[in-house]
Amino acid sequence: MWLVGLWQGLGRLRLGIWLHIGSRDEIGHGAKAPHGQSAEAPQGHGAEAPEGYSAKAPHGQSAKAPQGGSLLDKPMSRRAALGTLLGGLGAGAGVAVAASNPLGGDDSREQSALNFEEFFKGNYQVMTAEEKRATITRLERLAQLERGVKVSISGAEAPKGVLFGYAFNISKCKGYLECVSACVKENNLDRSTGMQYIKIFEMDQGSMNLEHGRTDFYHQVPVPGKFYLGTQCFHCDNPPCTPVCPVGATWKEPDGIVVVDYDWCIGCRYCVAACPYWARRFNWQSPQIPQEEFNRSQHYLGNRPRKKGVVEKCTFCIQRTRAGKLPACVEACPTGARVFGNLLDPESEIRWVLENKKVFRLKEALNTEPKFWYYAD
Amino acid sequence: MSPRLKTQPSARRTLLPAVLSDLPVALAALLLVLVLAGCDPADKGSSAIQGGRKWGAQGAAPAAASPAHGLSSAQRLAGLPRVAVQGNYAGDFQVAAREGKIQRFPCRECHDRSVGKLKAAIPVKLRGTHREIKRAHAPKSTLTCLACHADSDGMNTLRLADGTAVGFDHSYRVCAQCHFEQARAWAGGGHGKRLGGWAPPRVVENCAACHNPHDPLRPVSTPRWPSVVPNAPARRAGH
Repeated sequence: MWLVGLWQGLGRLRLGIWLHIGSRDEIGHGAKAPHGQSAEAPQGHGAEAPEGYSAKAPHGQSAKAPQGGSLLDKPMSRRAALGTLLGGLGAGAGVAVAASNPLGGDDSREQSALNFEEFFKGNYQVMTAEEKRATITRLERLAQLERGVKVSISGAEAPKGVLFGYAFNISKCKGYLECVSACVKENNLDRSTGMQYIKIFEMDQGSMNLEHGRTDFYHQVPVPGKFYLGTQCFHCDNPPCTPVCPVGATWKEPDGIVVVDYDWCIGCRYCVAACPYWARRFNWQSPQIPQEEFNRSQHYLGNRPRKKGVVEKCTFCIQRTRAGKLPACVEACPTGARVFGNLLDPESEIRWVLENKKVFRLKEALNTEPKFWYYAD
Repeated sequence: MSPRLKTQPSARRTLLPAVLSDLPVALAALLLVLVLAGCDPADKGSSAIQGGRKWGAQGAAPAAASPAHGLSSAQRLAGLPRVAVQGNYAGDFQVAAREGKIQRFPCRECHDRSVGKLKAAIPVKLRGTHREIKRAHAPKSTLTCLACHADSDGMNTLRLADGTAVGFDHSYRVCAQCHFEQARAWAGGGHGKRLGGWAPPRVVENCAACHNPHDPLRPVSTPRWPSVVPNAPARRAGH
């Protein structure tokens, strides 16, 4: 597993090494590089070799081969010859294994091929529209093969003239946690670890110290003398979590939603450390979602199933909000404590709250500009 | 020869040096003129009081210009009976209709005469209708049934304090008579429940959807257990 991680890390920084092999001048040097790399590749993974690699000689010798002469006629040292042969064998074997899994059926071959292509795709931010469509098609097909369900993954872009904002009424929240339950189901959160994006604090009335609030309450609510305050990702307008990502796997979209590309995240958890509101979650284990509760309406940057080792968080239900719907938490709240809307629409409910209620945000002094305000009746 | 100080006014006083010498005053006067010119006393519906939302009877359903994002909640609201909001808090939104959900409607089927005459016509031991309604809204001497229910038109409508008849779909007007702060917030968006989605058109639930008018604290603040166990490590005592 760590080999894959190492390889992924190296690949993220520069994939150009393969482009340079052909230009190596030294005899032994050029031969060693591919040989060494292919020995490290995990077995059966199809190796790092792109298609057609074995067709081209695995070192720069072919560039310098005399015109009209074949590889067998060129003078070379025993070391170079050995390297060439073994490198070619290794790469060829890797490709052969990937392409023809003798023990699996057609599905497994297709799965391997799809996983292979998914492995080499780039960061979602720099993909062309066609590449985005292609990866979504692959992911939908993989869901069909691996899980046996037909899903629809949306690649909906940020709608124009929209900046999402959220308001939370601390007088109305009674601690029912309907929002938490709805969020878990809507966003395909891991049930084995009990992953929850939303935290509700049970606070003493008269205190705004969240360190003295409790998020682990489980008793009849509301308790007299307490009030309830909910937190989740605030989708800051000046997010501290996005600049710290070493690979650019998380960014703020034009509609204000801070998103994560789960296939680009390397799991370093810098963003988890950077977030002052503890909004981000890391998958320490492989997520488990019961089949009957699996939400099939997904978004690439939203509730499609994640894997072990990546960071995730509230996305303001991007799969719903980019279609004009309310987030699951807002819709589920039985007391109407949650307000959501477009900050750029002067007639919206969120704008009314900001203009007519005394609102506050958490940790204002950090200048994160969260788009999540609190107010009271 | 003593050098002439620049601050001394020149012998020939023209307008420009006079203005320049009194420059701060001149600028202040100019600013005042500009500000006064900008104020339009005819602009009565200004945002000064209500923060941009225009109040007043606006009647019909909104015909808003299509927004830049092109998203709409209309599809999700299809089939939901709704009416435009009337009265003091009318605005660019609609409220879900409730009259169709009342089980024993129209009331006229029984209330074909005044309540007094109805009571007189029915023996005491048969007066069981509406007995299940628990009145916990206000002291019984403050709010009787007739405070909100009109004893006219077969009791098919509610009544405002001045006698105006109001349909059950517009029961928010009755609540708003006393609960004007909540009604203002409800009309603006800080109170109540939105239906459909965040995209226009805006449709909200009626007051009675969450607050039983006879026992208003139910069901919205009913004590109950949370629907899930929160995922948080148990706090140690003293922390």
